[in-house]
Amino acid sequence: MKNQPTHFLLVEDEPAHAELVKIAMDENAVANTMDHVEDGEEAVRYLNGEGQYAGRRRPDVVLLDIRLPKMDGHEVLEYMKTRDHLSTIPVVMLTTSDADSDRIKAYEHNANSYVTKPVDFEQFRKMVRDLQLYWAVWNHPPVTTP
Amino acid sequence: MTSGFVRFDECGGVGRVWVVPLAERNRVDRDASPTPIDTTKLEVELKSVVNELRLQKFAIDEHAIVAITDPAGIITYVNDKFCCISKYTREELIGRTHRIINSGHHPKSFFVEMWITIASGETWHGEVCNRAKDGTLYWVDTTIVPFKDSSGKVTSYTAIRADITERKAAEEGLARANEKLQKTNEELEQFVYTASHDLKSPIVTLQGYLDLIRKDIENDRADRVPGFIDRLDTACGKLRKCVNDLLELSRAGYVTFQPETIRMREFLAKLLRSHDLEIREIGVDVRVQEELPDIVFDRQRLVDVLDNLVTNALKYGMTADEPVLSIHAHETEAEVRFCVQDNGAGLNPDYHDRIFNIFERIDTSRGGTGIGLAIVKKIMTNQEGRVWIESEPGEGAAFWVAFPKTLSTPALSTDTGGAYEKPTDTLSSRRG
Repeated sequence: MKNQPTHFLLVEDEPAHAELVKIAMDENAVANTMDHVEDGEEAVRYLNGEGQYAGRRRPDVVLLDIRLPKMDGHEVLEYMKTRDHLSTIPVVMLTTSDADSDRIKAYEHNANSYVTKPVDFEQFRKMVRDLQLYWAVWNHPPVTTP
Repeated sequence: MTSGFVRFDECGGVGRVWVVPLAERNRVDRDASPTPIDTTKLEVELKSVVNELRLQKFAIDEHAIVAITDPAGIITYVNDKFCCISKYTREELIGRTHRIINSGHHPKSFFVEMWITIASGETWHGEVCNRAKDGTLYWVDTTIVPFKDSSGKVTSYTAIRADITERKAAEEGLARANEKLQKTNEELEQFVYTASHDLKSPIVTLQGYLDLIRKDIENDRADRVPGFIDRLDTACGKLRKCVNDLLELSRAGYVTFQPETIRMREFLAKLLRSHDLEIREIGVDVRVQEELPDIVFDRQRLVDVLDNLVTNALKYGMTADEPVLSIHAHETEAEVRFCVQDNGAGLNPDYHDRIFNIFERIDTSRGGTGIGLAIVKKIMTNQEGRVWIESEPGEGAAFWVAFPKTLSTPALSTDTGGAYEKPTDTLSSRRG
């Protein structure tokens, strides 16, 4: 089995939403780690381990917002799924958008999951807990993290 | 014989049917008897037939544009209506082919198909765009009938045409209106999509932190509450600004446009005065070109355009040690161009197109909604104008707006004050 806790990368430009995810994770007390970046280009640099991210841990799961500055979530997703070294990392689209066009586009680019942010915090916390449990406990990743 | 002709304008009378009473002819027919040829009767009948043809020709000439050509297409006859609509004299047309009025609108294959049809003895029908002598274009609904001799050889072609220029113009207008409507629909879809997202996002924040505050109070844990309230505050500000900007954007597209001549020097002085506080706080060196051309535009829309550009420059372009905001103009044959330029951090060319999209923000640290430049673009493109950016990283940014000179120029307005209005709420939130 796994020898270190599941590592999430959260790509979210809205500081309040990022904090909500962190507060929810703290309350849920599921063992996992998480890093947070604020735009699409930063996410790509993180994933490639460029510059300040040279020593970063490769994420087991990416939680990806859609409306992001510089490079939006669809572009980051397409980038990841068309690169051999990143294509196997599961990507969960985590967004306020319930537009059909966004959902269709995300799955066309091989998103692994599509989740909309609940408005009510208790729901939000449960959603985050379910994501943590599913990706950190029940799901087996494609390869052992290097 | 009764005759009911009504004359009408030389080039008018499109598409009307004229019935010429032929009582005379009918009477002759009725009286015809099977007796041996009676030359007197024959003469009467002949006269009657000639008269009838004369009347029919008169009726056709009243209604239609008529031309007759020989088998090679050389014009041998034109009626007055042909001369009137083509603006050529009869002398200029006889002996020439129809190439003289070819507009170049139709491909060669169009006329090849026509010639194949009529040369084989068939009637051809179609709508043709022609060019008059003075260069104006006109559309005619055309029927060409080939006449053959007893051996079946074509001896001449008669072309009968009706002026359908107005109908064509109406059709084109309708197609243009349709296209515009489709564009508006697409814009509206995009608008609803982005608006719904950017309005929902602060709601997730508001509800989320409200729930957290309630929980913390229940659990007697007040230490996190002030921070949470700050989050609520920020989300409310975002929501308010987003709603204001959305209203401004929707106004940009749907409000009537009333062009007037605007003295730019005075206009800009007034506009910059409304930013006086920020300008003094930041310590900006503002430089406005001495001589500025007047432009013709809707005053409120011009406020929206230039105020957004100035706001944008003050928000993002003031990163230099000695910040400079410069406004200058450049006039070409077709456009008057204005430039709002800063000496700030500049912008990577990769983002140059994206910054004009609705809700697009490249730098999220300054708290804009990403609607300002979309408003500028919408107003400018609605009036056939243009907007673009010239910038390299580290070399400042120059935002250009080009106003077409084709807008009609009403009398110079002396009122430079009354129409200038800006919601104070937007102003205060921008400073905040």
